[in-house]
Amino acid sequence: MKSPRFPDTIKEVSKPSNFCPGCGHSIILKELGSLMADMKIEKKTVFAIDIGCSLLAWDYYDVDTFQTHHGRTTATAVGMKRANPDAIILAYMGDGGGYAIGLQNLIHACYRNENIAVILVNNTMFSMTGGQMAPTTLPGEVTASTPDGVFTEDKPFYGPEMLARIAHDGAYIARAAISNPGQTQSYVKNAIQNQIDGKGFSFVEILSYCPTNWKTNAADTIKFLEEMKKTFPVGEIKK
Amino acid sequence: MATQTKTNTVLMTGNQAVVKAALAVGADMFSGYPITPTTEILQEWAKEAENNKDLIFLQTEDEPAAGFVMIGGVSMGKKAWTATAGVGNVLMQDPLSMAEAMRMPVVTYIGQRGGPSTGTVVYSQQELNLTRMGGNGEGLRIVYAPCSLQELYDLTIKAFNTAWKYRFPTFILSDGYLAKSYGEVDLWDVKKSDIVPTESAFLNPKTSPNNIRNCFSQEPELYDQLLKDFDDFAKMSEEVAESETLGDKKSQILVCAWGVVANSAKTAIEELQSQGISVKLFRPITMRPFPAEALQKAAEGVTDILITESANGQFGRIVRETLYGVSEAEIHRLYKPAMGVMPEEIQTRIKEIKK
Amino acid sequence: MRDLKRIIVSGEGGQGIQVISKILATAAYMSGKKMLYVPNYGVEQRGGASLGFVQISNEEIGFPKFQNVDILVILAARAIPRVREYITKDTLIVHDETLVSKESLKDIPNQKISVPALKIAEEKMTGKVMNMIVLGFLADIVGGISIDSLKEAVNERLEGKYKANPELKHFNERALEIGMAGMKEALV
Repeated sequence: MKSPRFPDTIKEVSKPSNFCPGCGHSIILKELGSLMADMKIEKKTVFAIDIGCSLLAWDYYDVDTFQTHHGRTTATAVGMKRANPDAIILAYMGDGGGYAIGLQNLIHACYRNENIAVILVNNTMFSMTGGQMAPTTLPGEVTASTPDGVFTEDKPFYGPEMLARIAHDGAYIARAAISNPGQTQSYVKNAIQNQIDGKGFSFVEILSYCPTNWKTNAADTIKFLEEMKKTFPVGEIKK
Repeated sequence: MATQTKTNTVLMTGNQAVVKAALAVGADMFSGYPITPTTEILQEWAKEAENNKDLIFLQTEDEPAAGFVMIGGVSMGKKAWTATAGVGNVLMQDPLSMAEAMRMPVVTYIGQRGGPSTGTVVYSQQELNLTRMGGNGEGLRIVYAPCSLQELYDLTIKAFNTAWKYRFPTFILSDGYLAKSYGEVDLWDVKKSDIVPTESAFLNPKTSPNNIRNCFSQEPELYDQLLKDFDDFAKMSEEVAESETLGDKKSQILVCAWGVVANSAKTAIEELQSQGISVKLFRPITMRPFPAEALQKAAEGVTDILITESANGQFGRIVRETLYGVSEAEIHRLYKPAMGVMPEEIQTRIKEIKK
Repeated sequence: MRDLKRIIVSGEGGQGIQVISKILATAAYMSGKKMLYVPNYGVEQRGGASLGFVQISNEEIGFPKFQNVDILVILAARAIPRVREYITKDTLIVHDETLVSKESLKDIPNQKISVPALKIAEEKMTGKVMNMIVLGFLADIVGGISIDSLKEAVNERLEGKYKANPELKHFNERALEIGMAGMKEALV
């Protein structure tokens, strides 16, 4: 028996996980693990993950998990779902993987209304490689590749809003913030249920913490996320 | 492996023959992106899928997507494949490298066209290095090189079975001339019992929950995995490496050619034979694993070797490396990158060598 | 020397060059021959010179292309620069004088046959069957291809069109017959 705090979906032997202290992934993955257990879908689900910090989740669960290439999780998930429409396919990636290198695949999966659920974790940077600028970097944000805080005069990348413009009827698109785990879990649940109901493409962006690369203490980490929420409005964008 | 049961000769193009072969050996999923000279494969499969709801077809947004959709399909137990060419082959190395690392039995048909870059849409043998060794690894791949329409059918069937038996990415390395040729093909039936079965990596009571990855944290983890893969590759090579040696076995002149150029060489040596000039031909059927021993044997007692190819020595380097320290024969080259090599040219060169 | 006929049908996009080539190959196959046909193709979907490479033999054929052409059909002047490299002193050149003038071929010293295919087609039926007359001519020179095989090969290709337009079948078959017979007269 696992500790009552952890659902059966979470693999004990690989814990503690390799995520940094305070990393948002640990919170999101635990929530997702509970959700899969609650929905009783762990034996029907394949969890497909990207390169970037998300790859550290390759053995996080006692659930089928397929770690793929950078940006290619969406395309792999599309192939899996097409091959087995009864399977529940969750594609999990960061903002670099989804919005930079994998954007083409993400847009077309949305455009074709592929019946998969994509969970994209946005921490405003490429974190595994040491905190470089991502499409989601906030105006003025200092990163390893924008040392003077200047990378664009324009707005950062609004992924869910952009996808909503091309999404079909039936698609589900939302943005959650990790500071509100209840809401995050409910949006992700809606996305998975949307897939189970066969309605098509589902997408949840989750604003998440990266204290290591933000170089923030606990209080400032929470403050940073509040700043992110001002730029990236949280809510259900399309349902 | 698959054996021939019933004959059914039909006129068709090379691309059509490949699709028929894939169907005969149980392929049930295709994802691709249009590129000359392989587009007809995608179109033919689309037509087949229209009439057969068990076949999955997806035209993707680009080649990497086609490759990763294929891998996704294979991971869920489908016999998925793709077709590409030229710069599409370059882009396809992203998914193929992953398939190589994760021992995914994918099948890729390559219709070689001229390079580098967009080059021509027509023909070449310049994708040999890329197809054999592409990716940031060690070329853990199996590459079949058909030389005729019939072999496109036969070797495509073999490629699927080899891929699923040994779990290395497997290729049919063709070219624009073969792809677009029209002629007779015997569409023999493949017995069900001769088809190597497939299995899902996921949602499978035997293996689930299955956690698989291609990224390792420490050097020794990857090293151990590679040593195991090399061992499997070596064992597979003994069973899979294939070639043919034709013509006068005692001749001191050896022609080395592969793919459709080997067919040109065949015509040339038959013609020379009728003029009383004896020549032999060595032709690898698997470009990887390369049938090295067979080449060394064919080169025994040979004084002159003519290497010919529609590339600038990509094949020649493999031949010379294989014969290094084994053969003293003088090497002659007839390299025509991205151009056909006609039987007449080969005859002329051999007559010059003979002088 | 193996019994091999190497044929290039050349012209420009839209003339049905590849149709003639493929049907010739098919008819040869139906008459019991071995054959291989490959089109030239480039990046253009339409326009430009068009060449069809056909090989017909009693034995298995190897490489889809060849250097030396035995019978070269030229149906458009713009194809001339593209086919020169295949001509040998033994190449027989077939052209339609309305489409490719004698003048434009004057620096090619080979044996030539001018066939009035377009003229006959326009006078007796419709200009569209020009290529069927050429096909009939060509099948006759190649030899060993029966008129029935030709008709069958054309029929196979145009079945759908024939249903919609039965007159076309009549015209095409008549054109093939004229082609085959006319060639004999032209050679006398």
